[in-house]
Amino acid sequence: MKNRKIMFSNGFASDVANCEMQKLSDKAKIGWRLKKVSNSALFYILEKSEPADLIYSFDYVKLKKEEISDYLDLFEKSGWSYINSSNNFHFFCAPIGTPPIVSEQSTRCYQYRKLSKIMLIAGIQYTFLSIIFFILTKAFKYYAFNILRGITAALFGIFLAMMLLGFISSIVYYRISRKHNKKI
Amino acid sequence: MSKNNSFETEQLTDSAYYILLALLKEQHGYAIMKFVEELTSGQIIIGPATLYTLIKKMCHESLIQKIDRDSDRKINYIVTDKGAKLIKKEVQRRMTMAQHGIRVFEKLNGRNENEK
Repeated sequence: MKNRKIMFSNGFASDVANCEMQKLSDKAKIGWRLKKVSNSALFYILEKSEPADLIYSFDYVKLKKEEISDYLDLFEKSGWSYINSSNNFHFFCAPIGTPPIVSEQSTRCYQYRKLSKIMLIAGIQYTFLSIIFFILTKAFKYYAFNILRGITAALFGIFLAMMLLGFISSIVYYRISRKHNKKI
Repeated sequence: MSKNNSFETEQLTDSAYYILLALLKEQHGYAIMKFVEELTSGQIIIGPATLYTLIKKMCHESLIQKIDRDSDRKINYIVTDKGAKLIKKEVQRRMTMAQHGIRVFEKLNGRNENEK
């Protein structure tokens, strides 16, 4: 019998993130515990185990090497067991009833604003790359081999898609951060 | 963007307020959580992610500073002069606000008793 399986992730944008964490909780209840979150957080690796009532949560913070042990220690002592990290997202689980890792909405607001900024910068970088490869593609039209032109055209396409992805996620994250910022 | 980020233009959030209070004395991360929990008799529990995010943010705004000791691996923090000034002002501000609230309630209660 297989004791490992893969589940795809839908990302960590606010409401979706809560659903994702709930999804993992539901899986733990029927005996599939989160073992690892893949690189880029595209999917989860679950492992067969005893059914357990667990809650899952994540944090987003860029850590320096010397901060990691202090950081994990803090979570461990607050009752949250560390699972693993992927692209500055850190995943934790705890028994039901453990106080949440985020006790104030402003924390998420700050985190999403940071994410939005990173995506915006990525978008701008890909814009430049797209422009360069667009010009190269045009230039090779007259003097170079077809293969070279094909490659530059393909790269142009990829960078253009990355650029759009960057800008769209930046807007999405920004809107989420605004939503968390609402005070009465 | 920085407008909403800054501790100076905006009042401290409740968690930031308690963390600054805790750091009037040098402490490490978990000790801050315990300090706040004890101070408020368990009414306020700061989550580890909130604590860490705020510590990073306040270091960045130089309200607090890191103290690296070779003897133990734990990173300790303490308020800077700027942070100490801010928390003093903030305690005063919150006290004034609470007094305003009390004044309103006293007035209302006084009126109710007169009507009886």
